[in-house]
Amino acid sequence: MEPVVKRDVEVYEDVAGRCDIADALKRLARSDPRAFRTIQNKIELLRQMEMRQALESRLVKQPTATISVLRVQSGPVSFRLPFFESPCHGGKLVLLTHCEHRSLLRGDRYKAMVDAAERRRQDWVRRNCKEERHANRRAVRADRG
Amino acid sequence: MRIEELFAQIEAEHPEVTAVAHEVDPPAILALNVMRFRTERGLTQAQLAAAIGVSQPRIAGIESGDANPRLSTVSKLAHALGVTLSELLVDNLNPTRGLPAAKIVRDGAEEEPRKRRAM
Repeated sequence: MEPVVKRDVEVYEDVAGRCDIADALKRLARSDPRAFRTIQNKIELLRQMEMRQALESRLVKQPTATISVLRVQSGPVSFRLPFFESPCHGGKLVLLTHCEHRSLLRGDRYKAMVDAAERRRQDWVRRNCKEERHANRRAVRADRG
Repeated sequence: MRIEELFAQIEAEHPEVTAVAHEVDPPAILALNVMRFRTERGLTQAQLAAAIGVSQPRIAGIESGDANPRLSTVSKLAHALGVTLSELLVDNLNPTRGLPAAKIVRDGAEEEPRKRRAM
């Protein structure tokens, strides 16, 4: 088997450095270690798959063109973790919102979760892809010069 | 925050998480190995499914890490992919993860006589 190439994954933090995904995962590790471990394994699986493979395996669904959702089942409980592939930083994956039990996310609430993820995606791209954009522009100018 | 840092922090704060690894790991380990061997051999999920006599969604379920297939199905998968059962169950998901408790106990038991001999 070929050597494993793991993709970078990070969790979304707001401007103030708050990270509700980390808080939710910490709470889950305390209350349900099995569910936490299952989520951890699914994230590891995702890191080692191409997006096409992840979609094919039903590990991931894409409710919109920009947001993907990692699907995790632990016993009777389901979790959903919206994320996106960064357009910069070599396609790093960014987890956007904390996991929710699927039963709480029927109808409008699921859409609300995806909308919140989209707002966070735009915020993350605005804050983190700026430097790379400038670096690219500088490189293009240097090539022309 | 990088996910590795977050997981390391959580595992340090909650050692009970490490204790359940063996209960929840096998389907995820199998998922990764089936997906990688299948891709390496240029097989589609439908082709692999046909080779072992199951439906394509069943293979998709195995590759998502949700399914916990029977040993006979795992054996058929190994045969169809041209690998051994043990190759299909090698932990490529996180090879650096802690050793199973049995191995730790066994190594610990081996460690003791050596120490005694040294004394």
